[in-house]
Amino acid sequence: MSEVEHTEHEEHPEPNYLAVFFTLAVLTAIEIGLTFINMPRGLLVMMLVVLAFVKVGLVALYFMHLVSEKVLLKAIVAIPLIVASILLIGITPDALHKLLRPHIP
Amino acid sequence: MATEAGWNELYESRPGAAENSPMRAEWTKVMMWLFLISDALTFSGFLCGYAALRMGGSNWPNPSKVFGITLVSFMTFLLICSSVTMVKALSAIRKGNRSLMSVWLLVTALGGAIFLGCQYYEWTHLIHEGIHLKYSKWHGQPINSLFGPTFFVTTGFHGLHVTGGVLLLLFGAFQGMTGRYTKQNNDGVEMIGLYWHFVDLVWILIFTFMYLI
Repeated sequence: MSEVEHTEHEEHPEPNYLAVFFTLAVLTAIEIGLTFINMPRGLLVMMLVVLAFVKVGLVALYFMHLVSEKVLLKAIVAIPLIVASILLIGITPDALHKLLRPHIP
Repeated sequence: MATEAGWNELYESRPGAAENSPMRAEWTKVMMWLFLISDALTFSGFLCGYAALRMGGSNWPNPSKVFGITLVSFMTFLLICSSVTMVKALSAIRKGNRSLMSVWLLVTALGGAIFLGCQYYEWTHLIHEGIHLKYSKWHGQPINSLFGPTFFVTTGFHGLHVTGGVLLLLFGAFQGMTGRYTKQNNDGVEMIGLYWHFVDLVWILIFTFMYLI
């Protein structure tokens, strides 16, 4: 590693890893707890998916240090994942159909 | 064939190389991110395929009835803990503490190995209960035949990643003991860390989509 980058590491103070860890642990506990609560299936799925992506964001930003990378590297990582999420559009009609009308096979 | 000196020249950064890069990052890091993106696309294909098959299929069992949520929650917690020990390893070598780095890498590898042990136990239990690649039964009753293949392929592919990660961590710890990494030269540890956190990140999604939903 060059001295230049070493200096850059020092410019970016380390994130509070323990705070990230506790947040991840609490969010996981909330996710598990939600599955025991009686609520509409659609709402449960939506909340679990949002919590999962918040956790993914925390790992990528702080553990993988994406938060301190340049915008270009962030864009290179984000763009393919956004394009991949378009895959979800393909299953959205089926998903909505099942979630909104669970009694119809 | 590259000599050791040649490899070192290839591997180690030239002074100012990162500074002159448009991303202000070492090429190794950019390449690792590109690899992780391609891997993420593979996993997103698996998960979207799983969702589509589950939406379109009938007689899909309730995951909370099939899987032992306590064991899987422990496995998730274990991977999150191992991500913390991984950042501790990187932090140690950036402070120049080589032996502490190796210890944290070994602890991380131990976490991964315990995770694999839990996965072995889970798979054995499920196979014993009648869930297979070709057909699946639960308590003697037939269930959707795609439940087994989607579960085993996705978690198996992730398990292979964990296995590779554990080997990488052991290799990194060994290299740390032989003095390969220093306070100034620790790109290799950062790359191992990126890979390991990615394994954790993917499990977070698998845990939610396959076990909780």
